[in-house]
Amino acid sequence: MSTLACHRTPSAARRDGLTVALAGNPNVGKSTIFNRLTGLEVLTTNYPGATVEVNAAVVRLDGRVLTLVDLPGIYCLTCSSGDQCAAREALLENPPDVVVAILDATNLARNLFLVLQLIDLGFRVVVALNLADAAEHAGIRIDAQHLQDLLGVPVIPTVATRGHGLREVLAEALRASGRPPVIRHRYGPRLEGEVARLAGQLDGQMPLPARGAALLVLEGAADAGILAGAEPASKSAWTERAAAAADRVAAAYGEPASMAVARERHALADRIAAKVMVSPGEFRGRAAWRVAVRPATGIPLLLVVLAAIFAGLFWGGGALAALVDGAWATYASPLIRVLLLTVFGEGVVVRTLLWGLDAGLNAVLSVGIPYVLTFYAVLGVLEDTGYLNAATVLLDRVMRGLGLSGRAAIPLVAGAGCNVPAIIGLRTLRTERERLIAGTLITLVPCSARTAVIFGAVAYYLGWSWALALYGIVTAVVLGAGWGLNRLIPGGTPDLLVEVFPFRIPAFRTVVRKTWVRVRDFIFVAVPIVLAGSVVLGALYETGLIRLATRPLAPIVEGWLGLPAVAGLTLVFAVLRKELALQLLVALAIVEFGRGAENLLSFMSKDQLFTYALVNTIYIPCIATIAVLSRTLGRQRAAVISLGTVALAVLLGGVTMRLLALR
Amino acid sequence: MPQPVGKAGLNGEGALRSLADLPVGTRAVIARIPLDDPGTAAELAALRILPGEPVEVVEVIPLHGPLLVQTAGGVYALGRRLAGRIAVHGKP
Repeated sequence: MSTLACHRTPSAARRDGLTVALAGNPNVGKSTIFNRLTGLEVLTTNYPGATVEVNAAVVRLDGRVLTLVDLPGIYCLTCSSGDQCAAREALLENPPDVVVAILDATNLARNLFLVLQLIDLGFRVVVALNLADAAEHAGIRIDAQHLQDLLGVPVIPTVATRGHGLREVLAEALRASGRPPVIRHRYGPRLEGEVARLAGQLDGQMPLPARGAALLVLEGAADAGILAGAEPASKSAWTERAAAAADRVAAAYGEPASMAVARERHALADRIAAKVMVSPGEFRGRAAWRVAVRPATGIPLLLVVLAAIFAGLFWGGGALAALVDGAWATYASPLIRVLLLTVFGEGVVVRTLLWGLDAGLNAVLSVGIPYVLTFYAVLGVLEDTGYLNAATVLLDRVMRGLGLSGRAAIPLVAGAGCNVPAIIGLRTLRTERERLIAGTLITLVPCSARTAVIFGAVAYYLGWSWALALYGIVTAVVLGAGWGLNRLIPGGTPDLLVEVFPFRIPAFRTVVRKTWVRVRDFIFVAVPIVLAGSVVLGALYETGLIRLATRPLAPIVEGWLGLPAVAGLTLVFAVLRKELALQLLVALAIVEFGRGAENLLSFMSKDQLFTYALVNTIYIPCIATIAVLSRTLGRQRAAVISLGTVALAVLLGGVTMRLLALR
Repeated sequence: MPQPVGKAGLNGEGALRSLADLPVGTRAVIARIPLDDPGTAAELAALRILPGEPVEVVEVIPLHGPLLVQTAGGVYALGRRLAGRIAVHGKP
């Protein structure tokens, strides 16, 4: 019948080698540690909900194969938002051999809550006492050895941003994997009595040790899949016993069992923290966020930040673009031309290939990279200072008008980088309604690829005020869509509940690395698509088939939008990647009118360029976005959203063209 | 439906006030948190926003924006409606 397997580790689906999960509260440096250990591209950020899918990487250490799993930041293992569910599922349904619990040394007691819960559940735990430098700076001194003795698990001080202590953590994890898990702590006798009684009634099919399972059930997580292996009959009998035990705990403590367990765990965490704290210090850095969250200072600051992003893109991105363009025209282009002519000789083949290898690559380098690079560098700084986190508080009021909580501001801002991770990030939101509204709005947020088109076409040829006007229209569209959806979709807006982190000075290395990883992804994914797209369009052009291909589009593109039919074709191609639109247009202009700063203007009027960029920004997100949207919200909704944006873009484009013509 | 906490005494616990009614700088002790959504309740509990715990209101964003509270665990932003459903002990 019952087995009191107190020291049994959760049964794991066996894999090759060992699995080590990194767990911790948000913003404790988990992803930084993961990146350091793996050299892999999980983006580290200073806001909650950044690691939204459970990332894993395989590394070798001392001849052994380790699978490292980077879990989303969590405060506890009892579900609330989607990312906490993801962390709990990863831990309970696919239990790792060792959990590395990463703690913020500047906030020890609260961080110990999760560590105690992990130990309760029977995991082999190794503690990384991170931000050791920040703690030391604040005068906080913690006796790591004493903490290790009290918890019964290894404790290693670490400074993730500099890589200190990380190899020791892994080495300890390896050692720990060979030992049985240890539970040294106990809560109050009344609670432990009920836990032991309930644990004794469990049958041996549980994936968790009995004490851990009993505690988790008392915490209100009876649906956590911990009864997955049980027979239906014993399941229902046990559920009844669990309810009775919860009632007894509630009666004894005068509050629900879940609250009683949390209170006991906090009390124990407090006692442990008090014992190991040699000097409590005084942690500063709490005041800076006030400037960002108070409307009187926060709104001007937000405007300054937005203006800085815009200026950075306009001047920084613009200068980079001009530099790359010049270098390409002087050095690369003639070389490629000569090489191709030598190999293939004059003809349709060379002219088609030149579309891809000369004009296409040139467009990637001068349109895509300068603006994408600049945007991600700025975004990285904003994330790592903690500014974005503070901005969610300021923006909560505005977001509520769109049926969203301030929490949704983060995926929306991330959408300005790339819609795909932003939509995956919807998991951090609490309700389906909020995910649906935010998902729709994200597709309307100009990602860095669309920003490249706006800056490369509108700001570059028409001036910054036109780009600003375009952003104004898009902002109005996003706000209008959110306002409408909030009224259309039944249900309420969830409450905001987020931690406000102290501001930090971002580590230069982390920001550079993060920017590089994001830009590298962009290059590796974008270049083949742009090359292929350019060659196909080139082949259509050089063989004259382009007239046939553009014909079906003509009524809408020429008739309603007032754009050259060929431009419409580039918009269709841009479903692959949004910046492809301008890149193909540039390539087309180079072929038709030769290279030069004014080439696009000899091809299209200013009004046409503006309309073109507006339509490109609003219509259909790229194919990758549609795919992730249907995975997250369902195919039907993804289709409705995609088609809705096409209709909206065509409508707005035609109206804009007519309004511009009135001037 | 969310039920705002009345200002009158409840269950003989003495005068209770809503956290959302406290001005900036007020310290209080939490008397009750909403339990209707177990996930939110568990998260509040993990963040030490629990009955018996002290809180200080450190910032109130105007126009019905969020409320920022300092607890033993850190600084948290709570939506005004959620804060409205957290009861604190009134001044003695």
